[in-house]
Amino acid sequence: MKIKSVKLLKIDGVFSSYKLTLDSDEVLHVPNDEDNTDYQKIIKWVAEGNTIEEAD
Amino acid sequence: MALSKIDVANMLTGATPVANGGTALTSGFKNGVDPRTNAKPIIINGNCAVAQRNTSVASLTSSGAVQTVDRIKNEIGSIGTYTVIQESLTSGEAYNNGFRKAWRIDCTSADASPAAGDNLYVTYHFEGQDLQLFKKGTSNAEKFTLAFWIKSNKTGTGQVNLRDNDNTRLIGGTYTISSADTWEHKVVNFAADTTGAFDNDNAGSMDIEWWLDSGTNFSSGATPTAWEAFAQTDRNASGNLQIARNTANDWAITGIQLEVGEFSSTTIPPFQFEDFNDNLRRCLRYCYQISGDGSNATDLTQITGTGGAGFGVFRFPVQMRASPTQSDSGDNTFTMYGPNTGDPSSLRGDRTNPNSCGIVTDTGITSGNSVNIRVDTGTSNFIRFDAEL
Repeated sequence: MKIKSVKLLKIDGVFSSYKLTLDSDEVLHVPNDEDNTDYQKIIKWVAEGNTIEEAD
Repeated sequence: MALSKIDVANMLTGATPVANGGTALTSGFKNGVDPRTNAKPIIINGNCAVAQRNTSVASLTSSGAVQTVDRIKNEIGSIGTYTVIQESLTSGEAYNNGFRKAWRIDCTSADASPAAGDNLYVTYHFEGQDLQLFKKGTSNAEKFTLAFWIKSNKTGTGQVNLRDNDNTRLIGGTYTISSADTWEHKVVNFAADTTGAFDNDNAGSMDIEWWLDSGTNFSSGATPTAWEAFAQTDRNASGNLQIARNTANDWAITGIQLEVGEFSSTTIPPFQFEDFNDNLRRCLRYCYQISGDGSNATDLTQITGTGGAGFGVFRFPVQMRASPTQSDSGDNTFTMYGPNTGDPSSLRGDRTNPNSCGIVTDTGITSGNSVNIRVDTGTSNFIRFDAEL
């Protein structure tokens, strides 16, 4: 699984999910949970120098 | 006639009697006593019966995800292209022993000469809290016995490892495929480990790894027959199946069974078959998918408009391992039914937790209106909540 982009989604200013788009264009909505393995991949992706897009 | 006397002395001669009327085992069960009476199988979906996501996925070049059979992952690292399927069995020794489904991988584009870092293997992941019965890291640590049915067009030696992620440790074993395209039952023993306890939590503490092929980064060492500090070069040191090298190659597995203690092919307990519902409910802790049923739209939940956007609540049938990731087959594979109609817009899970989540759409619902969100009829349409390890 290769991450293309990650965007923060909020509703009424409150965290909703991370919109994770893969290289295959598959979209995942990832919660803010350290036990979620997709969240762990986002943290690793950020540590590699990538940036999460801010919410609209 | 009332029983007036039990001849205890006579009972204690010869083989020690056990509850099922058989003879006490000389290995495995300590003192002839099953330490896991009435327990569920340690491996979930070991008979490969449940495949919520798909029954066949083609053109896989990189993964690290469950594609078909629940709980079983394929890892593909720059080493060809594959199709993964839930295979239906109709004959053979695995079938004769009660197995009707298997996890199978077919090589569809070969890598005749893998680079050093290329890898191909299959995994099963355990939560630490489900492994405490092995007492790892204590003076009472138990041995592990892994059994499974295997079939491949290739004969040769496969390496299978237990990988302790909490303590960065590894132990390996090997099995031999003697006859091509023939189901064979394998039993592999692993030593106990008095070093490094598993964390007692919901995170991934141990993986089983069945190696199918690799470059030298994973094979230049030696298979660790005792627990050791994790060494990358030892993970596929003895494997020579080389499934990636030819498009004629395939490898399939079912009847996966992990037991506490040391057993042989003659002493290992029978595979514990669960009914489909019990099996499915255990899988739901890691993935819950609702798919189109092929004949009617499937109601998912009801959402209420709040001035354009719509909000609803969705509860999971069991508590999931962690807050799950939500994905789906796209807005055009869902329908709103009620005073507002059409496709939802940017349908997604909101503030997901292990028990429930919100379901949100961005536009299209009049404030105060309630509509049903339905998964369209096609069986490839789905909404998925995934909390796999």
